[in-house]
Amino acid sequence: MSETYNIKGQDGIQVFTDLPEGAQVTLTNGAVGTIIGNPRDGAFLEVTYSEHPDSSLVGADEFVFFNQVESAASK
Amino acid sequence: MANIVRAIGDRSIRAYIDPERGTVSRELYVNDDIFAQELEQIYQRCWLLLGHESQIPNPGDFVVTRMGTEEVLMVRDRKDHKIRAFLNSCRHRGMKVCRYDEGNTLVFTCPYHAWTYDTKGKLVGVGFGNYANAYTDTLPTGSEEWGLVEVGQICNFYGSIWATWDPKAPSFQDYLGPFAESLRHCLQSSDGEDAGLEFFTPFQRHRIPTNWKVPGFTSVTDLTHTAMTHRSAQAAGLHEDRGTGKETAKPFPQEKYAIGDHNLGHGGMCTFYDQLGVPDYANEWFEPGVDDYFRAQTERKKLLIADRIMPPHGWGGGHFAIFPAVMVDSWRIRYYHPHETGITERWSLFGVDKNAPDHVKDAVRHYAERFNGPVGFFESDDMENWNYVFPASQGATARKYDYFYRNGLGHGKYDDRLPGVVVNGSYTEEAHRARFSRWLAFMEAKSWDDLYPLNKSANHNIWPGVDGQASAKA
Ligand code: FES
Ligand SMILES: [Fe+2]
Repeated sequence: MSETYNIKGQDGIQVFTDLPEGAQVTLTNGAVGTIIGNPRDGAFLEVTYSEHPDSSLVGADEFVFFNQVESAASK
Repeated sequence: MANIVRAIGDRSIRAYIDPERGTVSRELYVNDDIFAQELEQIYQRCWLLLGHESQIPNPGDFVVTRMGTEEVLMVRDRKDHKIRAFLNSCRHRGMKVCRYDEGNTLVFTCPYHAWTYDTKGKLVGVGFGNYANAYTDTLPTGSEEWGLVEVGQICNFYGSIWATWDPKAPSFQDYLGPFAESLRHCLQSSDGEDAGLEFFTPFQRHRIPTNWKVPGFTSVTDLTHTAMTHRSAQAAGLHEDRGTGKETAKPFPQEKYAIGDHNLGHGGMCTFYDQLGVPDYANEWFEPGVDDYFRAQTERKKLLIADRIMPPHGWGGGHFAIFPAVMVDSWRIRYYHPHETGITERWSLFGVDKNAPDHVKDAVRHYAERFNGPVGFFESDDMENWNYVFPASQGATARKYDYFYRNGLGHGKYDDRLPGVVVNGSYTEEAHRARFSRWLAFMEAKSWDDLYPLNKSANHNIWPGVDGQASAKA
């Protein structure tokens, strides 16, 4: 059962800051990635893309800013 | 304020030193224009100490250190584990990127507009970077161009980390010249193993109201101050033995001098040994068991260099200075960072054998705290002098009267045992004068091309009468 993280609620900033490695994020552009690093700065997550509208980025690592993240769930 | 023309390559600053008379103008210590020129022509070019590898053992570890007046991040990269150093200033609009003194991190995210940099200094993300009508096409993330400003060169010298902003500077080994072996020696553990030290953290730091050259040039390796300045600390019995009386060491033939390398600016106390091997260990510690450890270490070191004469080095292993302002002893490094003309930050790094047992590390740390810390004595004594020198020297009257650096002038000699280095009596100001020779060379040089050792034929010595030689011609 995958758990959904409420990153938009009242505690959303803290939940985002604490997202664990391995959780899956869906971005506002439709890309999906797995968190491989969380600097815990409340701003960025390092993800590896498993899906991306630009197919050349599938498998690539990128730092995504919090406002790009639509939702997060455990795998 | 004196009117000083500061165009690079301008030589009017030479007028502030009178080599024949052996004097230096106080303007060198109190003048804001000269200070600004030092930052540009000395601190932008010289190799500067960043710290020690033992501060950042793990991937992603970082500490904030300094180069001159500026903060620098010393970082161990998460992927290749190499140590790099970057200016702690965001490339977007100059915010201090990292506001912690030390830590472990994945990225450095600027608190202002969230530009974020990895541990190689590369820009890897920006806030709103994905907005079509924001940065698009104007800021490719991952571009080298907008990464953190990296130092020109960095060097891990037996565990100590040094850097220069100037890519044209000579290698750190060449910058040290004949002092490389002395510094290497001071970074060995007590059994003679290379890179055998670690340093207690956090370093002791004091912000003191004086010019950086007061401790950095004037007080480093200044033997004549010790008897008076430190008389009270001697009376309090604060040494390793806490006043209980040390064992008298057996004689070990040696000669002691004050030395200065006028081309490189390094210098200080020097011991030439006249016998193979190392001296027998003499008990000196109050705490039980500590002498046993150091005696066993000394026996190991004896085996290591039984058939060699130790390289010439400072007294008890150190007490020499690396230009511009690092003072090195066998287990201590003291370092003076300029902040303003009359503000200096002093760092004391205390080393200990990294493989020593805890009771030895504790004893050494306690000694370091007695020696220096908030309740320590020795450098507190020194700081009393340093703090009062500046206000007593900067007034309109005071600054017209030159400082005296003539002690031993004309009595130095070159010595084959340390080629290029002037050797003089222990209580002379030879090391001080060498620092001013190098100081003037930097302040006049257009670039490293004019400076020894890149300019191999340079003779930066400005003072008369070394070994019968005339002073270097202007
Ligand atoms: S100043 Fe750092 S992101 Fe703007
Ligand atoms: Fe604001």
